[in-house]
Amino acid sequence: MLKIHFLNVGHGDSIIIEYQRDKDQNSIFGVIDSNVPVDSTTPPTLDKLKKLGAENLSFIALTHPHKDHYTGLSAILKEYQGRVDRFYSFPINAYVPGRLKKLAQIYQKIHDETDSSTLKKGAFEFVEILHLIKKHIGENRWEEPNGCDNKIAPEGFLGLDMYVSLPLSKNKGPYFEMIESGNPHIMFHHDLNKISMAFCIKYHGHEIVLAGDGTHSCWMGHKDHFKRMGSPFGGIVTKLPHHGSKHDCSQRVINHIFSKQEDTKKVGIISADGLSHPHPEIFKNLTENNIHPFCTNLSKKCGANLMQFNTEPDLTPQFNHQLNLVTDPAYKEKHQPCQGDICVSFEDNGSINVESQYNNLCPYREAFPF
Amino acid sequence: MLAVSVTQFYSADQRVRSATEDMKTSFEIKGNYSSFLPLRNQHTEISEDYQHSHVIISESDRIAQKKTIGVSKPRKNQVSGTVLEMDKVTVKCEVCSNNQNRIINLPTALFKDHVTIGMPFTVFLDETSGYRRLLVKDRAINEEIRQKGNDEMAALVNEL
Repeated sequence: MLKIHFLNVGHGDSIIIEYQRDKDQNSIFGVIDSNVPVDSTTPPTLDKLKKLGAENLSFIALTHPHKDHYTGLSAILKEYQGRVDRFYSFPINAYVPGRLKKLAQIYQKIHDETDSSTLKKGAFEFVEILHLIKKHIGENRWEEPNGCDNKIAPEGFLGLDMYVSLPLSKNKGPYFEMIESGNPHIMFHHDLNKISMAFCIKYHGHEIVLAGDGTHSCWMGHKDHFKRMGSPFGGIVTKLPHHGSKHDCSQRVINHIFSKQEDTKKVGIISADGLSHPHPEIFKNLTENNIHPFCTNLSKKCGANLMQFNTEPDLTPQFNHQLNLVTDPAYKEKHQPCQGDICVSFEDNGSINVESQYNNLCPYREAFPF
Repeated sequence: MLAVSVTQFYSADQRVRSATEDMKTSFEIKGNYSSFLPLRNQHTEISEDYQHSHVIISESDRIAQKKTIGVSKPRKNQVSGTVLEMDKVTVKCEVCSNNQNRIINLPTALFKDHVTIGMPFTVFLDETSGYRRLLVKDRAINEEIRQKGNDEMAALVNEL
């Protein structure tokens, strides 16, 4: 049995893959990305792994170096020190002498020159992750798979096929240039989504796509590859790319990353808090394609933008008004998440089950089972 | 006793001041002025028989007035922050407001050409030109926070 846990971590990704080949065998676990919501102290992924009874991790994957994908990973690496078999990452070329140090020195420069707690914490954690992986997993078990159809074989996952679908190999170069030139924008630049990994899992005739933060251009490149190969591609269950961004979840991308079987109802997982993502328009794209959205947290249309920044009591009303005119009015901190943690189970007999923590009704889909 | 509001009779500031003067005189006669707090909207109790010579403010009202004055903090016309990331249109910033760090998006145009990641800034309300507008100026960096954790970071980088 295969279970994929999509955790509610606000705007960010935290995915746990739980696989049990036979009923008399222990479950095998893998982690893709981690994020810690503002109001949490411990990473939800770590709490969930403990609840599931994970003794070892077959792999940890970091899709790309954005904070909403790596926060909390250092705590997981410390907790599972010596018990993680493999690390999959976006392309760094970590084996090139001095490459890791150069990358870390950019983050060190940002860390040392700022008094922003967010920047300091983010930069420190990223370097700490690189350090922990090098020390406790080792460069020999650190893989950087890329390309459109790159099969990987994490320990214990015999019986299912796992592929890396992104990043496109051609997108590695600009990132390496940023490292070599010491570009400080490397920490947050939105172009880093172009090196985001995406995964495809095939199990008992089902295809599951975990699309990371892959961009529109990446998925179009991927589509061209599969068109030339003449192979089908598309998940019955897909985690939407880039938290449901309007640009990266365009109609063409949606058509490509979901199964083409028109009579089959598909599941689209969205992991965002509704402030900047997901874009309201994508729900139209989804419903037109018989895709049923499950949001771990919220969407803007479902009330995520009710609270605004301009409620600050220590600022004058005039200043609040001006600030509100120019800032993103969608800032909000307290809300009721829609589905919460979502678990999609694939039984050996081919049936699929979706369980969610809150199971709120959604105006864009039928109640599950469909 | 008849409860009335000073502003009921004197709506404009000058009239309130004038009324205050009247009351001051009355208090001076009674030798009790030191406990009087002139507030525009305060409700006072005036004896029906001695309306022009007695103004009595109850002890609870006086405590309430003092409390109100004590908790009203001066509001600010500026907020300080640090640039986290930016593109052509938006600068994502971490700002500290009401002792809490928050992340907001400001337009890149506010920062003109000198915006960089990690830049400490203050955005303030400028009214000098006859209309209200937001302006951004550099903020002095907090050296104590800046230096926090730098040694640990250096140790990690050296080991890579």
